[in-house]
Amino acid sequence: MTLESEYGVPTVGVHAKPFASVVKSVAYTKGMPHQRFAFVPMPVMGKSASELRAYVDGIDPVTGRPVMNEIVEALTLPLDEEAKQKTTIDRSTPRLIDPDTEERLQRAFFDNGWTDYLPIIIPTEERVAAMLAGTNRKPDEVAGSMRPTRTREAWQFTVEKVAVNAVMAGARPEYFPVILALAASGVTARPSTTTSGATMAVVNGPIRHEIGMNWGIGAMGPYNHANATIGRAFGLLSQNLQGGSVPGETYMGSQGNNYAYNSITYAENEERSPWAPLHVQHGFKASDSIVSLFRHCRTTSFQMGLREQHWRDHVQYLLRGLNPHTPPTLVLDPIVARQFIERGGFESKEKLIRWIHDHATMPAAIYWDDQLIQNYIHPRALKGEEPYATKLNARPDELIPMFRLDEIEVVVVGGETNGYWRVMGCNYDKSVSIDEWR
Amino acid sequence: MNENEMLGSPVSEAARISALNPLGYAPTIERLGMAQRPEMLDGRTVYLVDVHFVDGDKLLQQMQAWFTEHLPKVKTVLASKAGVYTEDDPKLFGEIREQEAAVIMAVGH
Repeated sequence: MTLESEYGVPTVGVHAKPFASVVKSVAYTKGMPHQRFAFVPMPVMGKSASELRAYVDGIDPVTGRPVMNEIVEALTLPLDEEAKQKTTIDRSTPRLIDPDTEERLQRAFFDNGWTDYLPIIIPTEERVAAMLAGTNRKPDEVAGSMRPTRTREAWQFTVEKVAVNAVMAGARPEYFPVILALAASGVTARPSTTTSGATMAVVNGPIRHEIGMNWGIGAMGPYNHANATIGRAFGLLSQNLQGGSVPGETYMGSQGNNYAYNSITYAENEERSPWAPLHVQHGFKASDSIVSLFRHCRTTSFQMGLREQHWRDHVQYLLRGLNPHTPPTLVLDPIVARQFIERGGFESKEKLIRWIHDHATMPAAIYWDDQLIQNYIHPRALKGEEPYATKLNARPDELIPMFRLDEIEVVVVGGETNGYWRVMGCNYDKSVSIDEWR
Repeated sequence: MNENEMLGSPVSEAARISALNPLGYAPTIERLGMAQRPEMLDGRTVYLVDVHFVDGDKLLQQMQAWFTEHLPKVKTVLASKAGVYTEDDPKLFGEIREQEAAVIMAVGH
C-alpha cells in the first residue's frame, strides 16, 4: 500500500490463501479497497523448489485463475475511475441497537460476533448507568483507542462504551476502574496474531483488597468473581472496541487459545511474596493500584520446587524449552519464591532475573536459525540495534543469551498448597494506573 | 414450538428492552490513490521483494524463473525488504521508484 500510494509504484501482494479475507479487509480499512492481490496455496513454509514452482505455475486458489496471469494483470490492467479517486467513507454506528426481547437480544449479540459465545448480561441503559457509577469519569469522555494488530486501524472509544462491555461480562461497578485502566492501556486482549497469543493482566496495590480479588488458592482459575469478570470484560471490550475479532478477518490465530476466555487475570500475592511487588519494580509506589499487561502468552511449562543438587539444570532446561522470541515470566507460588532465595541467594527479583538472563542461553547458530528470530529480530540486528547486533557477531557455537535482561519478569501468586511454579512465555508490555480511573 | 419459531414470533412493546451498542467508533476511511499501470511489462523491471516470511524468498525465486521462461523481456530483480514487514523501506522503495519498476511482494503468510 505504501509503495502504491506514497511511491507511485504498481504493486501486487502475493499471499497464502487463508489470508484472502484479512488482506482485503485491511486494504479496505486502510483506504485502498481496489488493492490488487494474488494468492497461492498454504503452506509455503518447508516446500521444495519443485513444489513452489507448481504453486507459481498453478491456479490461484481464491480466483481459480492462473497465478501468474493474476500477477501480470494486477501490474498492467488499467485502474478503474473509482480506484483513482481519493474520498472518505463514514462508518459510524448508532448508540442504541433496535429494542427487542432479552432472548432475541442475546441471539443478536451472538450473531453479530459481540460475545465470547457464553451468555452475556444485556447492556441496558439502567445497567450501564449503574456501571458508570463506579467511576468519576464522564460517560462521553474518550478513554482510548485499540486495534487487533499494528497493521489495522485503531478504533476509539468512550467511558460509556467500556461500561457497556463491562456490563456484558457480568462485572460489578466497583471493578470498573480496573476495567477502564485495561481499556485505556490500548493493549488488546484479542490480538489477531496467527500465533494465538493471549494477554495476561496482573493487578497490584490496595484495590486488590477493596474489590476482593484472589491471589491465593486457585487465583489463576475460575474461583473468584472479580478475577473472572474483569478478565472477561477485558476480552469483550477488546473485541468490540477495536472493531472485531472475527476468525479469518480480524483474528488469525491458527489454533486459538483458551487463555483468552478471561485473559489470565489475577492479583499478585504481595503479602506472601518475599520480594517487592511487580508494580513497585516498575516504578510505582506500593500504595498505587496498578494493572500490568503481558502480551503473546501461549507457552507454559512447569516445575515443582527447586531440588538441592540439580535445580540450576532443571531451570535451565525449562528456559531452553521456550521460543527465544518470547521471553520468560516466572509465575511463582510463594513457597518457590522463598526457595529461590534459599537455594540461589536471590534476595531481590532483580537478582533472580539477572541469573535467568545469564543462564537462558543457546548456540548462536541455533538462535539465529529460529523462524521468529529470522522474522522479527534479524532485520533489527542488521539495522544495528543492540543487543541483537552484537549477538549477530557471535561464533556459531558460542552460547548467547536467548532473551534481553529487561524483558524477563517475575510474579508471585498462589496459595502455598504446594511448591508448583510455571514459566509463561510472554512479553511484558506496560503497567498502568487504576487510580486515574476511579 | 421450537426455539426459532419462538424467536420469530411477534412480541409486545412492553417485552422489548433497549440495549446499547458495544462497538467502538470506527475511524473514517480516507481512500488512497493507486499507481498508474503500464500497458505491458516488456522492457520494464519487476522487483520481487521478500518480506522475510517463511520461505517467501524461495517462492520468489520460482517466480523469477517463470519470468525468464515466459516473459524474457522483463528484467527481474530479487530484493529483500529492510526491517520487519510493516515498516517502510525508503532506500529500496526509492530505488524502485527511480527505475519506474513494478513490484511483486511476497509472501504474506
